[in-house]
Amino acid sequence: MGDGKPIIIQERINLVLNEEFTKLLKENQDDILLKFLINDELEDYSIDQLKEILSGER
Amino acid sequence: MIRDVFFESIEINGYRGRNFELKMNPSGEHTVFVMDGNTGKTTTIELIRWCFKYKDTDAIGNFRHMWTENAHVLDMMKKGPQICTIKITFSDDTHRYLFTRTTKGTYHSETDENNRIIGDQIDEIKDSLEIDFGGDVIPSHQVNQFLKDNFRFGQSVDYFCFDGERARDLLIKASDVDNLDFLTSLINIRATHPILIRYNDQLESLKRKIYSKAKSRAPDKKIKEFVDKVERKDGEIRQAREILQQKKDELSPLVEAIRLKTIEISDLDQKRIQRQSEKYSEKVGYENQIGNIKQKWREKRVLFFENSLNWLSHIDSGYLNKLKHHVREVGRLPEPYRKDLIYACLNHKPPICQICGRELNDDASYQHVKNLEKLIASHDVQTFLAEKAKTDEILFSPEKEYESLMADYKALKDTEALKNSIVLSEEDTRLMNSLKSARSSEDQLKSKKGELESDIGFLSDEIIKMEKEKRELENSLGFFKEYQVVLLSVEKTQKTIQDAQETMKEKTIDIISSVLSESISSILGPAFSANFSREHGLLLGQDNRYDPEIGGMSGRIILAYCFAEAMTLIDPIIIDTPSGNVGSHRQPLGKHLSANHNQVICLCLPTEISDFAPFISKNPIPIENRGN
Repeated sequence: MGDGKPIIIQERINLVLNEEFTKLLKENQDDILLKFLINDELEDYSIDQLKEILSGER
Repeated sequence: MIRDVFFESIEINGYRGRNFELKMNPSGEHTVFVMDGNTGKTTTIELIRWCFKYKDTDAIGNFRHMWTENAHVLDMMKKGPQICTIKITFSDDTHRYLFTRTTKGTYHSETDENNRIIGDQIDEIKDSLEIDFGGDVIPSHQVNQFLKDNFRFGQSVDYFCFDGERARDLLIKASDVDNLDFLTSLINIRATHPILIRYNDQLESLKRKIYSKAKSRAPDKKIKEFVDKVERKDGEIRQAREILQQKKDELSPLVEAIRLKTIEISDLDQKRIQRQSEKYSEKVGYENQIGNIKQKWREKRVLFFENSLNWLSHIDSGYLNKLKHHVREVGRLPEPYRKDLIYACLNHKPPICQICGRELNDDASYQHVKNLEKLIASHDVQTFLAEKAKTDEILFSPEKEYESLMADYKALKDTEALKNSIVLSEEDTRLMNSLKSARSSEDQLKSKKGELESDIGFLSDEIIKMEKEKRELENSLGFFKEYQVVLLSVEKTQKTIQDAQETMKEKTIDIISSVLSESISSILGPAFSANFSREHGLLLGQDNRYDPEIGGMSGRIILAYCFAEAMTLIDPIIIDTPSGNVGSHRQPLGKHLSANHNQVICLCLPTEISDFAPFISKNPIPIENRGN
């Protein structure tokens, strides 16, 4: 018979998802659009400004 | 990821004649409500699912109650118009929410002309969502989407509201290795990181802004239409990619299902060989012969069709030369038109066509038939026959083929008679039927795999083609060239996000499998485990052996409850008592649920108060239906 001990299912699943999310950010630091998305800044830029920034990068 | 939601109360007035309020214990405590049979346990759970899955405008006809689809929601004992409400109060760490669904209608107990009870006649269903005691109110048409976006209720309500019926449904679907689309879609929902969805939406929005700007700068209508074309192409590519991913997700479980089926067939075949049943071997031999004849017919059908398109294959050079001579000398085509047929048509009183039966009662029809007698082969026909028509020998003789077919048919009938004359033992018959069924299933799976691989190949090629077309369209318009750096960056970032989502899916499957296994061990005992995979679905294991049959009903019901826990996207879980189905595992299941959630709401039968309820809450709350 089991002992019913806690497994904390949701936390374990969320941990994995968050780990992958963090990895995504770490491995793509040169992705400017991703950086803006993470910082919730993307909508602060007009498409002309984005064009300048992304062209300057290239 | 998971919102820290807490349900405070659920109040039902009128639905299916139920009238009660469930007031949960304060945050930090679980709650048990004691509700006798027919009080409304199932109704409560089904109403919550109905409210969160379907927005008000889509809700009519979608209420399910136990095994009944399109069950009634109104009070069948009430005459005349009625108004039913359900109010669900819940909170997160910042706000308090009151969701209400109001349904107006009349229940008709009379029968229609097909002798079926008319039931619900719904006039209106309306949702509302108040935040912080009316401080903010979400418009009714936005309520469902708001709850989906902010709490993912719609996506997970089948799992945070869980009962025995849903457990059985889940087990059947999740263990069917021939049909794992259901699991694939579950994995996609559970493994999707909502933030990544939001990022993708923002990138799509950025693309639309570029297209919108292109249209606003377009000097004329033609250019605007051109931009629309580019935008449409972009949408098609996105759709195609989604479908392609779905197909790829379906493929690996299918490959595994085929592998397992092949092993099953091999095992059955081994059994057959071991039994060394002569009669069985003889019968199988006849079946193979029948199969070969049928295969031969299938091939001949193709041959007949191909040859029917080439009339030259039916005749030899001798016949062709006669045909050419006749046309050259006489200037007209020979039979099959027949002089006597023409005369028969014309000389009949009244003149009547001997082929189609219509009367030749006007001059035009009469003359037309008369002119057939003088029909001359056109110049093109004569030239063709003189110059191009060539054949050396008959390549295809319908008469000979017919004889061959009839001989095969006789052989088939004789073989079937011989096969049917053999009487097998019960065990041999069972073995034969199992093998037949397994082979048929294998054929279907392989056929499905072939179609899937073909679709994947086609879609991949189409996407490449569409991307090239889109690139060409964009390059031909100056505006897009200017903003190409942004569009390319958007695509690159979207690809990065999609790759990350795919990796998350795989890791989520692994972690779900792992936590499920631990949950099962903690409830059923250390000999038990669980496995969850795309290829095999959801399986219970004992002593490291996994099979859909293991664990009995109680083990498998518990597996379903644990799986529901893994699939839900919010913390609270609302369950009815598993009751007798889980036998002596009630106690560890109750402890497990209590330990794994901040809030468990259990709707408990009075008979379960001592067996299950105390492990969730020591102070069960009795609930009675108030009546109308």
